[in-house]
Amino acid sequence: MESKGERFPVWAVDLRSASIIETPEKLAPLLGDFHDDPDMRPIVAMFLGELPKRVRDFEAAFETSDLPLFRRLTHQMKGAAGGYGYPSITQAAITLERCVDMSGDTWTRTCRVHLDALVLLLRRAHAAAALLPH
Amino acid sequence: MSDEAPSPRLLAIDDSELIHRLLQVRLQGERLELHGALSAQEGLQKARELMPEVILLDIELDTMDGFEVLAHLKSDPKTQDIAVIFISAVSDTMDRVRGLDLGAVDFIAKPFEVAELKARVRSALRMQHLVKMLEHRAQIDSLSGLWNRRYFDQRLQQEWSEARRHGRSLSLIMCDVDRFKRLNDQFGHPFGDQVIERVAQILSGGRGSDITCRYGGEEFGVILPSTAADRALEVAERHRVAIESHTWSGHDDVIVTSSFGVADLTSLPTDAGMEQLVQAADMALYRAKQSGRNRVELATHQRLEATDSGG
Repeated sequence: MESKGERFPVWAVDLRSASIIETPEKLAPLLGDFHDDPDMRPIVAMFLGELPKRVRDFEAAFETSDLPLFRRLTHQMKGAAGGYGYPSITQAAITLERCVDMSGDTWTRTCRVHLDALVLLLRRAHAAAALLPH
Repeated sequence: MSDEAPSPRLLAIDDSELIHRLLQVRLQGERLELHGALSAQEGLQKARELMPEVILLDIELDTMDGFEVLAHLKSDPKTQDIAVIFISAVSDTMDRVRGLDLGAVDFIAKPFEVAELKARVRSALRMQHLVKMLEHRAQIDSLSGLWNRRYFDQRLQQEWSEARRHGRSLSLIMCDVDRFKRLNDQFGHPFGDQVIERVAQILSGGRGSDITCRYGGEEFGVILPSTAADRALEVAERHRVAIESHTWSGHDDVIVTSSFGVADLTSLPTDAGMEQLVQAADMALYRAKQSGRNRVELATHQRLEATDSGG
């Protein structure tokens, strides 16, 4: 099931240009299922606020080939994102985790594309933080 | 003062802070006291300290996985009856089967549906409540309302271990109603039942920390944690006087008396086991009977040694 707030398809953004230094303004914000839920708002805001750090953690673990850490980060994102209203992020993390589990020595090449897809969604979700109702 | 029972405790063991925050919000409306642990070790420690009714346990943790944590919980008598629900993003059927086979009561997939999470937690709490109620009933003596012999054995073992581990004192009082058979024969079994009920009330009406059990027939055992022999003797003497001075409705001229044997850890050799504490109190009780009944006798180390060597 896709997020009700996901107004733009993932492929609307060129994956090759999606580097982590790109400014959020260029990305289509990804609104979560609980965007308007007053009970969830405080922790959704916290979740979105922490996404840049999580993106940096993913990238650092990938660059240093810290597979256990990379796997843990992916697994945590898979388990949590859906609960915060972002099933598409959970889905991307499932794909990435499967890739890591199956890749063996070639995981860096194969998984880079899936990591980029996940990072893009994380950054689009982060871009929606400013749109949360006060 | 409110009569409402305290909220059940739920401990979530998960290495993701994101999940803990989510649970805090999602279980907000439930009558629950929610606690969290971010690692396996912290989780095991908190399980022992808090004794929660339910544990939500992640499979992928840091130093050991959820299955190992569950095995630890099940091997510890203190935590083995806590209901454990696996909550995991691991979706392999064999993992679910393994968890349930190891003793988990349920499995929730992450990301979880809120309604399902609440329903499964409620279901685990209901089951836990029923199990505890059955356990409790199986340990209660129906006539006296006291703990039964089975509970006495378990509890004494537990108090014995605690006392040995922490160097604390521990006393045991064994009490037997004098000439009970004669009371039954002379005044009938309903009166005998009345005696058992009333003696049980007197023995359990003492200090809140004492554990009073019906040991069998007309014999009772009182476990006194953190209590040395001199204090235990006072407690026994107070019970003896209370039983002797009780007026029996419809049998005003009847005086019921009881004999007491008291033993504490100092009555025993240092390498003695729990059974020897019971034996020492029983022997002191036997001496009280031999010395004319309606009295309290204390077991001493010397007397035990003399009995051992004398047969």
